[in-house]
Amino acid sequence: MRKFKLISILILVSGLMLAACDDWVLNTEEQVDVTEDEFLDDPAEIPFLITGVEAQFAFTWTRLGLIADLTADQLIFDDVMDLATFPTYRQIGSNFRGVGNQTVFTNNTVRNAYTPLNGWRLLADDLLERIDRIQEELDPDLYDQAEFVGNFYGALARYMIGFYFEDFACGENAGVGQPAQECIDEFGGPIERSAVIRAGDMAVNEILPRLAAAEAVAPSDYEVRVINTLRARMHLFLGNYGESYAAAQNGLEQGDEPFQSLHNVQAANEYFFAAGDGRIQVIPDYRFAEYIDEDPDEANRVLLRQAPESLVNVDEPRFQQDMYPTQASPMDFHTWQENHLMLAELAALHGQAGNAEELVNEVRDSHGIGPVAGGVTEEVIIEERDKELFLMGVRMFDLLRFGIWPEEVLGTEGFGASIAGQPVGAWRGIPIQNDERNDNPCIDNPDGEGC
Amino acid sequence: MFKKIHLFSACLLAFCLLGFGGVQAQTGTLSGTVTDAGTGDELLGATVLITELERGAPTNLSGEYIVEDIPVGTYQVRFSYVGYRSQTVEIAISEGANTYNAELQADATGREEVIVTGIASRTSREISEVAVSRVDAAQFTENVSFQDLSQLIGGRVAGVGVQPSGGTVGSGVRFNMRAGGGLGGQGQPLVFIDGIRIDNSEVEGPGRGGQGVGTLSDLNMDEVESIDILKGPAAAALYGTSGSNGVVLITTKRGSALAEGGLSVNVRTTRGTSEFARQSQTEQFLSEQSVNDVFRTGLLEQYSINAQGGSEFIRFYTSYNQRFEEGILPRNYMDRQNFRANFDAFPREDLTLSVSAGFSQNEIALPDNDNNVIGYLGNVILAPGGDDGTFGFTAEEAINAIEDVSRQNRFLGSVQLQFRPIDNLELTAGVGYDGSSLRRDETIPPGFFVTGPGTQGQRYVLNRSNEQYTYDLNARYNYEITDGVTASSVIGTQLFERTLRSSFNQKRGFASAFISNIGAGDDFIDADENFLNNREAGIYFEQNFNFNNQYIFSIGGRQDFAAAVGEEAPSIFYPKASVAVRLDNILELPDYLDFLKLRAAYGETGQLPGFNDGAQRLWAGTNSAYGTGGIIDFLGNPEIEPERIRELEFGLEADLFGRLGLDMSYYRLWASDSIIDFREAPSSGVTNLVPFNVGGVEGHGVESTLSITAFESRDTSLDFDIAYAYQRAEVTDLGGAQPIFDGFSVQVFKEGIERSAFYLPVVRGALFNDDGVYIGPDVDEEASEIGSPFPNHTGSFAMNFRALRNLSVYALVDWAADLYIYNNTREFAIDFGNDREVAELNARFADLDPGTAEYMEVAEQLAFLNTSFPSNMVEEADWLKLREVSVSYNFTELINNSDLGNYVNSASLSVGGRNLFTTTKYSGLDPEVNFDGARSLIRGQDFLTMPPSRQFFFTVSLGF
Repeated sequence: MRKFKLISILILVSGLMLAACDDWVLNTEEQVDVTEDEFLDDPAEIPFLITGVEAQFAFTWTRLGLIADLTADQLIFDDVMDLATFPTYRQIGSNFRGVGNQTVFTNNTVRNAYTPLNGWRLLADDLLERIDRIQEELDPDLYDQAEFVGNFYGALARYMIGFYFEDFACGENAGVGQPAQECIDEFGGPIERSAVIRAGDMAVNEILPRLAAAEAVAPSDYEVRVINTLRARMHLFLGNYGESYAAAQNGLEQGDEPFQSLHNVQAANEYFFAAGDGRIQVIPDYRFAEYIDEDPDEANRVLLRQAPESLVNVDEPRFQQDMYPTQASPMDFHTWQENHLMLAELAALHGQAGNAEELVNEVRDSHGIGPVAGGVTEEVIIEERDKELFLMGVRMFDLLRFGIWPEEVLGTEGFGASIAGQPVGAWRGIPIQNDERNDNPCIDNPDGEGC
Repeated sequence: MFKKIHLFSACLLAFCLLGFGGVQAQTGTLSGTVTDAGTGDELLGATVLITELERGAPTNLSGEYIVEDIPVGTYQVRFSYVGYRSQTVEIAISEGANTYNAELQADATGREEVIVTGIASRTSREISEVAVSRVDAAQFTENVSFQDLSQLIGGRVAGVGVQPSGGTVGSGVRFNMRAGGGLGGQGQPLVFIDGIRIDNSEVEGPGRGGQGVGTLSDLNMDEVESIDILKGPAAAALYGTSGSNGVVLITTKRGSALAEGGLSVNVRTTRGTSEFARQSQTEQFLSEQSVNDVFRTGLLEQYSINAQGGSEFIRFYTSYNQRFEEGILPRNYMDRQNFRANFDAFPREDLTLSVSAGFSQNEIALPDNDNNVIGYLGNVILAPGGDDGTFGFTAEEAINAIEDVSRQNRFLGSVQLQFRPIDNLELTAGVGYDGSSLRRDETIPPGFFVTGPGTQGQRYVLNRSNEQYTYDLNARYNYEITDGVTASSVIGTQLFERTLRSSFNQKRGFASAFISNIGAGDDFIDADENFLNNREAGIYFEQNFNFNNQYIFSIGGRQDFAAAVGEEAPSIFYPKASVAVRLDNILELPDYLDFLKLRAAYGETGQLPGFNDGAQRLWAGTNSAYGTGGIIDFLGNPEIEPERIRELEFGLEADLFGRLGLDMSYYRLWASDSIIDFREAPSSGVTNLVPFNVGGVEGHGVESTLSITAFESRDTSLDFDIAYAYQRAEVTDLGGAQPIFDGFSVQVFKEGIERSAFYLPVVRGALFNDDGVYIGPDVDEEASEIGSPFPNHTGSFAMNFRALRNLSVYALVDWAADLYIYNNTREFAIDFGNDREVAELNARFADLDPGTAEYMEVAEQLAFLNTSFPSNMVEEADWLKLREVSVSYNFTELINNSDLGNYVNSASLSVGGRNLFTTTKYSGLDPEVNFDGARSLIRGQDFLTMPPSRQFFFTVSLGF
């Protein structure tokens, strides 16, 4: 009888434990570093989400801008620099020369910009969806603020995805087997070759409606002018000169503050760690030092300083950029000077109204540099933009637009393998990475379902 | 929550308090000796048990025993001793003194060894229905001092690979169990010590490359009595969720009863050195001398004292151990102290209380290595500055000035009660606790230039505390159904709770090299904290039948629940069934066949989704110059379920000629609903890997061990242990998804090929243009499978030779074949111009004319060394190592015949070495490396990773 009782008790206890297990395991303490999505459907959390979108703009732009300047010819990977060791920078700097199969490789530096860039786009879209979901609970001003941020940064992210990345190379020895300019002439610039735009339903047409929506609720005229400068830039790159002119006329005005990404030590300017005191992996092309040699006043806008001799493995000096000297240095995205130079270019080269020389000289004067001599030619526009937009991530488009993509990577013999005078690789934009190719069926089948 | 804990505690208490009954009367005495039948040696600590009374006594130092107060009658008396076949005899006890001297035969094949076969099951190998591998740790630690589990287990168990993540002292340990579990998780087994599920994480942080501090390095191997390894679901089903990669059950030493409640004390010291043993592999670098010069000779010192003893009612084992071991890189050492106190109390015949307590204090200094500009190896291997000691990225004095020390205090404690309220019913309740606090301090002093902080100095402080509770409650009832048919029923529950807290702070800008408190830094760099509270619970049952020791059946199951973010806890049932057939008890077998058993087992376990995997979408805060904003941290899958892994195992065990033991197993496993972390196309905006239940893996393998006692006499014996294992696991289902690559896009999960295989386009040769000029490698257009980082074949050969009665020689050789490693170290050495072969080829090539045979030959060689194609750097890495050799002499007999014997009971001296010889096809420093630590899914990748060192040591041991 005693046995029976004990066994019965055991079975009973076990049964109770079984019933209690489910509750017991779920009754854990909340995590402190993450929260679930549903809790953010609260008007009090919207400012937190708005800030998140702004924060990711800074995180993304500094990385993408650096890669774009290295893809173009403003930055070079010169391995006489003691700490220039990342093969990923070497690959980008040489436009992926010698990488082999041009559609099967991964460059983590590129991926570290491309992936968060798309994540930022999702954040902006999520913000718009969320405020629509809880619109009735939201204060109208907060709603407008969120709508502006969601649309403006959503457009900005799409601009970066569409304009900077391409899905096949268009240079010598590229898969299409055509010389670069012929390829570009046939297939267009990177934006026309961007599989992501096709695949992700993020065609350029999505950018302009978002900018229009942002403009409608812009907090001030300054933001409207920023939007117009962005419109002008995109249309200029696409060759839509009339639209570009119309937008630039309403773009940033002389004296306007630049539109920048903001940084601090926890959301640092990437130039500090790749091209600054944190570590110098890439340095400005030597022509920028020559600009200053030719006209010392250029030192007011082309900010350089000599790199520490201890970090240079040859006797000749090397220069490092000083545009973004600290981790907290803000990074220009648009300036009124850029808007002026666009108007000057449109007037001088594309038949739009305006006094190109006056515009260029106003820009130069803002840095204490004397006026141009001999009128505004294409060469002047190219060089002025090269100097004025130094390390602003747009040189790549000028190389494409003006057909001046360099044939060689510049460099010097030095420590380790030399890259001096080597022909550049096939890419004329930033390659879409392997993970996008592997995981996005629309790359291979752009007309497929859902693409 | 606390209410439930209190309720549970009350249950435990109830087991303690139930049924304190009376004591029986006594009338007779049985005494005698227990000796080795082969050598005549007295056996100390042998057990004499009067079966009917469930009472007995241990033998003393002279092998003598005495059992008093036995009622007059006839009894079955069982004489047993670890390592010997037990003997049961019928003895008639008459009033007064009775004598019986037992002679036990050595159990050469370990047939009678009691092993753990399930969560609440222990049985002998003779009747176990599943394959359980046992490492008799005490036997190995008697003469050799081991740094960690990997050294103690490595090479000794078929189908279990255990290796450190690198050659630095104190870094993590990686297990490869059979063909692996499913695709989810980190592929690591559960590790229990005395019933405590312990933390076997690897703690990382900034710097260090891929290597972190391994929490298993806190354990003192000298405290370990035995290690039982359940290698797969067939055996580990009752451990349920998370048991898919097997279970490692470590049992620490316990006291045994000595005559007159005596005390046995043993003191021991080990001293040794470690050195770089692979100079032959550094010739490949132009900076060969610089590479060799960076290594140093490391010292090893270990001191230990242990005492054990007790009586019939209480026994204890206690030990103190101090081990200081330097690595072969500067700034690498481990300074560890361990204290252990284990008690067993038998206050009543029906009650046993076992307490285990271990405390460790471990200080580990780890230099950065792997992918790191302040790593020693990177600075010399990627610095073609020559042999002048040039460091490539960071000055040597700057690296030497960095301090990076982790200090961990850890307490492992468990209390277990066994209560037998009625005949044949055994109730067991246990609570285990693993609590640790770790602090890591990394200080880069100002004045030295280091990438990142420059010359301003930097400090990083990490605090991590981890608490784990394991609660066990089970009941076992043994009964006889009919004559010769016995059964046992087990029911129980196991609960597990883990709370992990960590925080760090990082600052730069220190003005003085002498003041480095974090508050003295000017620039705040980063700070954060993490918190995790996780629970798992399981209810299990098991029903066993034994038909005349001929047929043994077992069925069981476990229902598991786990904490997770989401509305429902993952819940899953895991069944098991097994059978063993003792053919030697059924059939008339030839005389030379002493024992023959067939067994088959089926079991299921699972792999839990990650704690957050079931979340719809999780948000985190990010700091920025705009303020703190919300970002999507993780996109999960609310539909996610635990992965299920099924295993079917067949085995054959046989003893032949009384000297030869054979144990063979074949297993096949199927993982379904494997949790695949899908990488969404980045354009989707999803930045994390999203878990889905779509994967499947099939694996199979063979394990065999052969134990041979070639000869044995009083003075001489020779034993061999030979192990071989084959394994292969293939991904069978990815739900139609694209192949999933590792971070470096060289390894893949892809349907139809081996798990984590290297999958790349292969270089076929050189391409030439019409003028005969080399224009680059000729490469396959499609990627193909090159090989697997998991060796398909592994094995070992161990020899134990005893001569002159007291001289023992032990040697262990282990090997692996069909193994591939991605030599990223060489890839970078080539890229940095430091590869001797490539430099020589380039120099030759420059002087050759296109179109000539030599030009084409050199071009061909250069094509196969082109680093743009990682397939060129995937190498065969089969290896064979003389893993361990020890020579020991036991002076006990000599001492006992001298006056010294009045003061010293035993003495021995051992000398030995580890990693004494390596032969391998791999061109890198060592084939047993992985640059990404002990936990990541990246396998078989060498990137400036520290090779294991060669070690020599001697040990002196004295017993009192």
